[in-house]
Amino acid sequence: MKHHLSPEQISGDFYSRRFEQGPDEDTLILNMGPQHPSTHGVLRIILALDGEYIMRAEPVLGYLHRMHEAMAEHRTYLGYLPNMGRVDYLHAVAWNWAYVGAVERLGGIEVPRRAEYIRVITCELNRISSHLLWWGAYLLDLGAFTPIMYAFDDREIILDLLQSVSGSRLTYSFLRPGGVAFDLPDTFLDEVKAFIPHMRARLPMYKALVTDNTILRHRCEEVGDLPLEMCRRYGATGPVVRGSGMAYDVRRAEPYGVYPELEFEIPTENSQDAMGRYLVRMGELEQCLNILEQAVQAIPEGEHLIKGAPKPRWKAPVGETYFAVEGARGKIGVHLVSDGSSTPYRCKLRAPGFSNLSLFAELAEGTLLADAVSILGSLDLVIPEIDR
Amino acid sequence: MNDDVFAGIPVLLEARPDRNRSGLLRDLYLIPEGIVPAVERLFAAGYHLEDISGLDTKDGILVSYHFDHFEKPGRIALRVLSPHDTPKVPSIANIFDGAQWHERELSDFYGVVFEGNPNPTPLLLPATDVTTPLRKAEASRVSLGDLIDPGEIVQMDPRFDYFAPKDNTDAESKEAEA
Amino acid sequence: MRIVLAAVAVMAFIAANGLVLVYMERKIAGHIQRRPGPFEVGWHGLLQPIVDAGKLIGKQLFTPDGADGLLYWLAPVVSFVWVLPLFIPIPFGPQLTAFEMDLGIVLILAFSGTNLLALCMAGWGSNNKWSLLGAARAVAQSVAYEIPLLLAILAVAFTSGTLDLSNTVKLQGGWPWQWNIALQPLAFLIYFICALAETNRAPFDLPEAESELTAGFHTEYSGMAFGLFFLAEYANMIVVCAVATALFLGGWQGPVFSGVWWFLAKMYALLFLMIWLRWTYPRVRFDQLLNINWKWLLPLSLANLMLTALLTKVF
Repeated sequence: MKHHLSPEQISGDFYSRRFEQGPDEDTLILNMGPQHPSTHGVLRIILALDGEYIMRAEPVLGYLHRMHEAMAEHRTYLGYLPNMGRVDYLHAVAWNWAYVGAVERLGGIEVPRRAEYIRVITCELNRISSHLLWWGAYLLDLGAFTPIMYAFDDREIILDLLQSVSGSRLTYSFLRPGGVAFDLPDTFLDEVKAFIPHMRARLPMYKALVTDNTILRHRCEEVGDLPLEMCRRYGATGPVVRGSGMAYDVRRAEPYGVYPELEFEIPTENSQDAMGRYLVRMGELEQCLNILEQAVQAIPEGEHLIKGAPKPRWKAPVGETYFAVEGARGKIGVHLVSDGSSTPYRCKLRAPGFSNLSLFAELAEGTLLADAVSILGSLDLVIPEIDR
Repeated sequence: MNDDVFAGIPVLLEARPDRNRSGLLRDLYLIPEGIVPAVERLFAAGYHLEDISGLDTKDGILVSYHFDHFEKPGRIALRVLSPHDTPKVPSIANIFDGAQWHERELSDFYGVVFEGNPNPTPLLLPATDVTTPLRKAEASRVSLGDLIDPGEIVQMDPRFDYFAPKDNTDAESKEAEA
Repeated sequence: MRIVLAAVAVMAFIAANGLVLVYMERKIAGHIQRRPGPFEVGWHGLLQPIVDAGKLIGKQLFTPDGADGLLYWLAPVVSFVWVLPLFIPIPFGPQLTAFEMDLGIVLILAFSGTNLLALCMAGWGSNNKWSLLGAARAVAQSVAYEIPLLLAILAVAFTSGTLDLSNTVKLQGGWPWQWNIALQPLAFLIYFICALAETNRAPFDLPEAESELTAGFHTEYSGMAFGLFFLAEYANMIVVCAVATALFLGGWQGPVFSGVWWFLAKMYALLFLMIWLRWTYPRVRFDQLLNINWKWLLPLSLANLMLTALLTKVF
């Protein structure tokens, strides 16, 4: 039974009022966010609830929109690089790589082999730290307050490692077109070699205490059923689509760097639910360690930056390119267009979280509010990359 | 690579760019009415939408759709050139649901109207203050041919002459379009 | 006269225990999470609870826009004040009962239901949809879990033959095999789980789910009003652990030197267990929570009761 409220009775801003047009008598309109403990950033979702069931959901974006794409048109190619770390601060090296790879394609710039291996090592270490933070925050949403402390303990080691090589703890601007900014410190490789078995020893504890916990399994299994067809309709990539049975990884689909020479599996689950996505990311932690092991063995001596790498006022040749890398959240894409001047003509940033979040409205229909929290956590969203 | 995917769809220009440089397997420029049938073909062939990107050029606003395939990787770009004063493109949000957000983002940044989008409200910019920030000043715009190198041109409608033939051996094989 | 003294003693006990429990919770949480917990204020943070209390008292008290003033301010008061009668029948030591009554258990069960009323008043009076959701969850949860709680206690009443807590303690012995838990292990388990749910502690803390509902029914409260809810929650925890100690763990009886210290030791052991569980497990989803109750705890407690009745009759 529809009960239309008069315009004075509907409160809220533009989006709330538009959402609420023609509400039912029995639904409760609730704003989840933009300040909310479990939307992982400044995300607002308007919900129409019938008791605890979500009848309709609509994410409202833009609270963290900083117009990175316009900034690109007013900075030089090198000057724009620090922006990439701020787009997704959890996997900054991958965004660095996407941008730097696009610039290299435009400019026809080669990268020394040592630099390629350094990129792989730092990118995979960053991926581990991103997944650890996701894991801790996801469990925090579900009410377990302790795993995040353990995750941050491990993450601290990675942050120290990456600080020793790049100077930053979180928002790295470490890659350069033509290589990386600095060569590795002398003790770095040994410290990574010590970290790998340490992390390997922690994973069974996480599995036994958290992954196999009955309460967690009941919160994640059969929650957020995401068929592969729906992933395709929304362009979801990364662990979201791998948790629905498709082994799609940009490192294998459009190989870049030295990934073709490294052996690793693509963890895939067929359960299509939040537990599947969870297990994919836990599997990726192990695969990252595999890659790191191979990379620290195989890294050659050599330069870290090609001679003749672009200087600050470098002008890119005219052209257009699209370069994609596999980030912790999915396929990161940079569409770069150059008109021959020293600033990009257009830099479009394809954020995996943008496509992953767009399926939330359809996915959350009919679920419980507590399940919506679990689904949001399983999508691994970082709002700055969605809003850019 | 399915050559028949776009059979029968009016194409303004089809090119095979340098894949190593551009990241694209196929590049097609379509008339606005052609985008929906072309996207339907891609949907049926199992492609997914990566993103929709805009480009403000002297010749109009170029809307680029990037598609890729989970099992047969190879990026396909569909492009629509729209005039500056009334940029209107049919929406593909009824085929790929994810396009709704991408199109709303382009509306915010360029002012392009996507006819048929189920929820044409501002996405990233404030609802009351859409200023099309990525539109360039007229003096800064560059023409399409000075930005994009289409590579090997497979077929071209002679009216779509933004790309001067340069040293293309296929420049002679133009197909007149109905 | 005795009642007045007892009331004063109980208030002092609750206040003192509130401080102790705050410290205990934060320290245990810290150590489980591999960090030291409060450390700065006083030696190893011992003065932290006092500073916390000072902070809470000093905060500005405000009423949210559109809140129902009477309900909003009555809720924390009701929540705290109504906990006090619960301490009356509890036998802390051989002579340390506020008031010996034959129906001690009935009194406790009756008054513990009023906590719910306070939650409802808070949820509705805050003029906040999140508080309303928290209150709605709290109602369903409390009402549901009262029943197996009652049945578990009844089972013990059957074996002891009395509803008087002091007598129940006296009928047990000092050694663990002489406690009621040896006779009624299932009842103890059911009682403890229901106690967790009745006091809104994790893993059943949905009404105040921090990461879902911001803070559930007490979102809009600050300062001493929040402090009162806080104290009431700890007082409730103390009551259920005290009742568990009296009913199942032999109360103040011990192998040697029986007395109030044994009571306190057992009570604190149970409190430690409650705190430990909170920081270890994730939250149970609401429908799963109700499922656990209606599909598992209720049939089990009924079966336990029937079995107890049968065995008591036969033997």
